[in-house]
Amino acid sequence: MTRTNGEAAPSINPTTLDTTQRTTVTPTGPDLGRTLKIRSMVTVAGEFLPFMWPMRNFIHHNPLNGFEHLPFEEAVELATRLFHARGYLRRTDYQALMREGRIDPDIIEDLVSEFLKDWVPRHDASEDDGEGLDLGRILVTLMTRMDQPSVGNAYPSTEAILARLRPSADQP
Amino acid sequence: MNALSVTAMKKLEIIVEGEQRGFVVDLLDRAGAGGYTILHNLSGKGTHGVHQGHLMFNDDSVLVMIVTAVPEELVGPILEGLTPFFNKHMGVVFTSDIQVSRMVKMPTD
Amino acid sequence: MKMLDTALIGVRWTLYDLVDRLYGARINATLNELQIKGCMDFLDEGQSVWRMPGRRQGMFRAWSHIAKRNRRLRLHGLDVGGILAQVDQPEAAIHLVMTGLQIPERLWMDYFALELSKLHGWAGFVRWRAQARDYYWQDRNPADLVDFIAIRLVLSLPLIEEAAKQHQRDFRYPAWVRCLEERPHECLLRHELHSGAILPDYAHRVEVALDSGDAARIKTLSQDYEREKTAREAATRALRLQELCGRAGIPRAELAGKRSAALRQMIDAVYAFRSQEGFVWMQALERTYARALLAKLAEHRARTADPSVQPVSNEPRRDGSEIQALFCIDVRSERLRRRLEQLGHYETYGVAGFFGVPVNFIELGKGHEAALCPAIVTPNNVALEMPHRHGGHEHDGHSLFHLATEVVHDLKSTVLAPYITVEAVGLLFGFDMVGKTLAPAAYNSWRKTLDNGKQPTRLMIDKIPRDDALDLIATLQEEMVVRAVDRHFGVKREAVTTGMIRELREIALGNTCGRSDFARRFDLDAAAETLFLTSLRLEYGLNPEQAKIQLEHLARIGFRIELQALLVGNLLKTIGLVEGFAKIVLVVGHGSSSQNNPYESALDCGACGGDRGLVNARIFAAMANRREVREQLAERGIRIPEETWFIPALHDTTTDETSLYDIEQLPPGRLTQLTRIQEDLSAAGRLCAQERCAELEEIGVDSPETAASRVKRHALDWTQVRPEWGLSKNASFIIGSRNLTRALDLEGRAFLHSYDHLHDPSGELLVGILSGPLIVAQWINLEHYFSAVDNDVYGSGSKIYHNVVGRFGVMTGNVGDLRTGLPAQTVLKGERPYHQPMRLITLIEAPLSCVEGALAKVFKVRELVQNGWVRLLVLDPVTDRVSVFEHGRWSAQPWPPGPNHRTRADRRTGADRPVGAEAARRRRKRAATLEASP
Repeated sequence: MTRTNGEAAPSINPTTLDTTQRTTVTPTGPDLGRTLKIRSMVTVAGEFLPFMWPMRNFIHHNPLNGFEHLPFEEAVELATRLFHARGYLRRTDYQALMREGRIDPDIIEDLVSEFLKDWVPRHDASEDDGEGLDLGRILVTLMTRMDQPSVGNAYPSTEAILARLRPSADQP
Repeated sequence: MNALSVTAMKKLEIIVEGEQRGFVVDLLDRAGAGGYTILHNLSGKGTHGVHQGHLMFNDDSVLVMIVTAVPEELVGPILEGLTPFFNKHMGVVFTSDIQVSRMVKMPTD
Repeated sequence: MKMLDTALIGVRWTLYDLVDRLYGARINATLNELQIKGCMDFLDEGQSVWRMPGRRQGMFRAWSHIAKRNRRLRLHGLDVGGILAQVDQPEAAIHLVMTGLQIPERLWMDYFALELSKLHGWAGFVRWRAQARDYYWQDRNPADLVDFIAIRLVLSLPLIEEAAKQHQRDFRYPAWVRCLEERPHECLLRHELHSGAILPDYAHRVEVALDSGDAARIKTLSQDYEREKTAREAATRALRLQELCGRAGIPRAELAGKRSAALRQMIDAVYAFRSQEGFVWMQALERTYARALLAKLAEHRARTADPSVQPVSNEPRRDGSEIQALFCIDVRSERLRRRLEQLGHYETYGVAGFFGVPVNFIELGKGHEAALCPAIVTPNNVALEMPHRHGGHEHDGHSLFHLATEVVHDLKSTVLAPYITVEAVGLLFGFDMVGKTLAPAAYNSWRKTLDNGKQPTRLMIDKIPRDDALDLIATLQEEMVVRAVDRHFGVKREAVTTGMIRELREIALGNTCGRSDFARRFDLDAAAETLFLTSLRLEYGLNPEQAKIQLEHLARIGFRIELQALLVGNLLKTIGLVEGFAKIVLVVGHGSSSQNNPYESALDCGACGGDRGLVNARIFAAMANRREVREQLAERGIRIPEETWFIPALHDTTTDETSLYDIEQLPPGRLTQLTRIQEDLSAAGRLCAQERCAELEEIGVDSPETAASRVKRHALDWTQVRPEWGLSKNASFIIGSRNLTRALDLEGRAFLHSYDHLHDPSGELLVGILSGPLIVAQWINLEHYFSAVDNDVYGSGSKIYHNVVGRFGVMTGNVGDLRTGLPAQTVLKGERPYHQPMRLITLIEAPLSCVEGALAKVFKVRELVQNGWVRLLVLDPVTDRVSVFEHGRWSAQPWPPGPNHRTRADRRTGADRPVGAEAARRRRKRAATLEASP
């Protein structure tokens, strides 16, 4: 093993890590309890996997069957991260459904209102000059009239965005 | 004539959902438990609410109890093996001291 | 920008993931390839010729055996020999690698989950296989997830080690933690460089800085980079927000003039909302559908309740001329039921397609059992199919004994050894036929004769009296003796007396001893006789243990009369058909037909375990026709009149043709009615085909007849990738009386289960529906949901690129993950989704208290409802109120919906889809024309 830059590049061959094992030939390994525990851990860890029957008897199954103990929204988010998958359609697909009449625009407005009714009290603008923005209309427009860009991995702060929205920084 | 021997052992009673039965049984086999008995159609109540005893068209959602008698030294490993499982799934294990009687052939026969 | 968080090591990234991401390696891809190749060989089910030695010891040990001397692995730079020499069991291998990599035990489960998610298709298959009961290939070559992970970890170790040597770093867990903590800027830049997200104008500078190893320089550059990237992203977002507000009616200038607080709030609101947007859309889709459904139901109710409206002829029945029909809840039944009812004299019911009879079925000529019931049920009874030569009309005259002895005698003329009898009467005689290849050519040609002249068969569903069973076994054993004598000594049946055969049998079984008559007659010495008897015992199964097994198998056949009556009674009570029986009751199972389609069983009946529903229909009908069963039912208050006859049928969902079965058992006078029924079914089927052709985008379909022939072609065309849409577009599950939904056009999107709460005082039948059929429907709904929203991950992609693997699954390309879920052609139409992904809107017509009571009894359904996996609505017929379960509690839903309930969708499409009495009358006239024409 050579040493460079002060960093050791150790071998991960375990016989050199633990000197007592060098002389034994038979594997010592984990004891019964540990062995059973490892098996148990693997089994439980694997419960998120989708069930896959052989093709000749395909049985429909919920791919997120392993997450049914969680609320739907949470489960979808977890699965999204684990499987790198989408949990909902693209915005453009929903917009198409709306054009086909399958989604009622009035209901979109209702749902946006419900969201704001819950969200606004917790994020109050704390100014009472009545010159606020029509958030409901903005969000409905976002859903129904904007296409969907891809998101970068730099998450700019609200302040940073604010600064760009209003280049002249004379307003409070 | 055969005689009944009496041995001190530990009894484990493991209550789980029907769906999980296979896992528990497999674990007991691997641990070297001699055998086990399974009781079906249990009903009961716990932190997750009420469980009905028998569902006509569902074997997975009902409760079962797996009973086994093992020598004392197996109890630790078995419980260790079950720990990750019970961290996520509902159920319980009761451990008790028992005497097990079995028929044994007397050496003079 | 976010720094790499040490808490995510082992949770979101494996150690080699970090090597890949920060050093541009390809360890994950290499690992996947090696693991797939290793597992594929082990798991093959007959397709591959090469046999892996040592398979019975489990996948890890078998693989280990080979890996130690696999030159291919060594070429990859992998020497796993050292590790494998130290471990015998997979758990030990896991322990060795995880401790070797110094990963703390609290992270192990997350790490395992992460490793499994890399090849979640293969892992899922292995997991299924490990818990499959009586899966032949698993019994022979056992594999489970512990093996799977052990192989992967053992392979990963030298790959990580090699990379560590190459980059002269320590790639074990503690070192990574230190690295991310002490050199975060370097890690950030490395990540950006190798992830493809780097700002192009910085790429070169970053490379140079990293190569220099100068920490200060790296830090400066990193901070600069961060600032720049964030700034650019902020600018982009600001632009988009301006555009957004512009479209919302707030021009840029006005926006700029707003107070900071208001702008901040707007920015926060938009981004907070975006993280939930998908969920909001989905809810919008659901609510739109639910409201439209309730509106339709209300409209229908108002119409049928209004005495001034002329009653449509598809109202409850007049005597004698009507026919009742039981269909599966499958969404495809909805169309056929609607069309049939429109003809005027049909009353239909919906129930899960296994008709309440879970059964292990042994098809004639097959050596294994098939469980025909939902996957969550284990059948306790076996049913057999036997050839039926007698044209008579007695339906309960032939016992299994009688027929089996017929079969045995028929087979005398064949050359094949005793194994033939096993095939003919199924698995019950205890020989393990699967996988054995005795005289394969002769065997196969014999099998073909069975399949070709598809002979009429009977289903044996009654218990065999013990004496009959013993007699049957004795007969079979004697037959074995005859064949053995022929095979071993060339002595024909004619040359041996019955007494001799019987004696040989008794000796073999150990009931008598001494020199046999046969040996005396044919001059066998003691040694030869002993040899022969041993052969009888071992080769031909003539021993007490085998006889006991055979008896047990025979005992599993059939249902006791009491059980038959219970099952039939439960079903009838559930659907509310306990009186007013028509003279003919059709029991219609369903199945699909397509060519060259590995997904064929996905189109079959989910309630029957992915098989056709015909057998269950036949069994249910046979039970319901039994005199003894009806006697018992009468004692419980369900009186089925003598002239009522249940007829099984099969609805082919690809062609919409329905065929009647077991009609030879009908009393002669009833046959003329059948012709009419068959015509009705054809007419209704053609109209269904026409509806479906529109959705299948068939052009030039101008009549029901054209439609019918078009869909028929689908069934036969082996290049057809979409023989039918199947269950796509499923949206709701309605549990209640048909009166609620009759004549409504539910577009083939609703599961319909008949239920009458008045016949269910204890709520037990509702519990049965919720804990069984509802779960099956929920699976179907969510399978379609996820395959539609992300077909690449949750679905199986395009069928065109599918490669059938090992006879158990499909892969895209040559070496890749096993695909799960539904193919693109099933849920997508080109790029857009055809299936509208939303949760199952479940409507139960029952008092709210009943539903709450039922939910309280079944944990699983409670969990699904409370966690929002199905959307539950209750229409209480007593209070006439609708409640919806949302946000953890019941809330009232306006019912009937107000006058402005008609959505824009209805207004626009209202003209195209007439639902009123007017249309029904028109259709009725049309049907009459069809009947009158020759």
